[in-house]
Amino acid sequence: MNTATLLFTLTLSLVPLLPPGDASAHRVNLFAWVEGETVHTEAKYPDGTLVKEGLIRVLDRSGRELLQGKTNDRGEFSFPIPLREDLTIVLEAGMGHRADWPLSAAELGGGPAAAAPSPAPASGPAAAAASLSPAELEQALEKALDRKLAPVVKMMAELHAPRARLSDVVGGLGWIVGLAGFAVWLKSRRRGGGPA
Amino acid sequence: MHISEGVLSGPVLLAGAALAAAGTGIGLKKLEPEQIPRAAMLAGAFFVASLVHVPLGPTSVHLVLNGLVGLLLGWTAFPAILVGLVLQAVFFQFGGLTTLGVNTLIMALPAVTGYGLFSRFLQGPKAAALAAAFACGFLSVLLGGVVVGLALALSGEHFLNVAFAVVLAHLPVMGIEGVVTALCVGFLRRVQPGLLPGRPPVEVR
Repeated sequence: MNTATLLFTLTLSLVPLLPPGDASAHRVNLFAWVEGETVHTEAKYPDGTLVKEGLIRVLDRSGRELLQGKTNDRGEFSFPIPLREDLTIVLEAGMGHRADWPLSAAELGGGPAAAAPSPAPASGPAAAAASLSPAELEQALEKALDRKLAPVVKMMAELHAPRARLSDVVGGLGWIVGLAGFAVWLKSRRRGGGPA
Repeated sequence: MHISEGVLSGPVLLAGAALAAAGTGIGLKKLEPEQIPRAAMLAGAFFVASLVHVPLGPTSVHLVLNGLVGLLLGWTAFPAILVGLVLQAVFFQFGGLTTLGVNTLIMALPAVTGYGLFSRFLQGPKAAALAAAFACGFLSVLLGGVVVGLALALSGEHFLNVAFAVVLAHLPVMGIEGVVTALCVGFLRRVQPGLLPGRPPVEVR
């Protein structure tokens, strides 16, 4: 039993390594970013597999559901901005896989200043670039920036989401080998040092 | 199969931890030095299995392998699965610290049950062995779902609803687990029958 206690203690000594408060059921990763008037979401499992037909729900600040939809074959779901305030996007991929992603009002172009963006005139900004009013110019810039920055934002989101890395897998297996070695050593010691 | 943190009530978590500790104690006591490499190998397999996602219809499921672990280890499945779960929690953020005991129970209890029910068939005729392995993999996930339902029910949810939902959601996994367990047992019968229970593990290296 002494061996058992020791092994148990050793296992528990791993506990301080646990990341605080970031332990969800199963892991599934959700990213959301804004491009123009559309919110794009993408859902993946930690190994990079896409979540197909995952349920996406969009909640407002009070938790009321604004809309929902399913991810397509590329794990993506896009929807027009329903409300320019802080939103929470929730992904439910079944089997206890769940993730959420907060979208702040600022990201959605909300806030007092940009409360009512009027759509660009039908003639198009390219027709008369010189005669753009400052407001129109700002709008065009924002649109262009959104478009240009979208891949970067997406990349950052992917970096932000922890993925199971090979080093983690190898590290875990190393721990197991080490524990086994430790157990063998303990058992052999108790037997009087003879070879196991 | 993992229950996330903040779902279960305190007494359920404590009871789960106590039972898991007891099971781990029994498993370690029964662990012969010659079996340690095998236990470590299966703990490793269990640890990695949760990363193997099988795309399946609308969703994607991952392997559990608790049936296989139980079939080959018996009571030692408890420490093996506990170690695997701790490492999954540390490295992949699956499950959590407070639910470690309950999660160990969810996966190890069916594993030991499967060992008790099916291990005797493994050295028998091939068809019986493969059928037993399939049933063990299948039932281990099924029983795991029942334990999940039980744990949730003791924390205040309606048992039948929860257990039914969990079991239903895991039906595809059960089939896959059964097939994988049967494949592994079939393979071991050919190359290393000494690894399977029912025969003294003399030639195990």
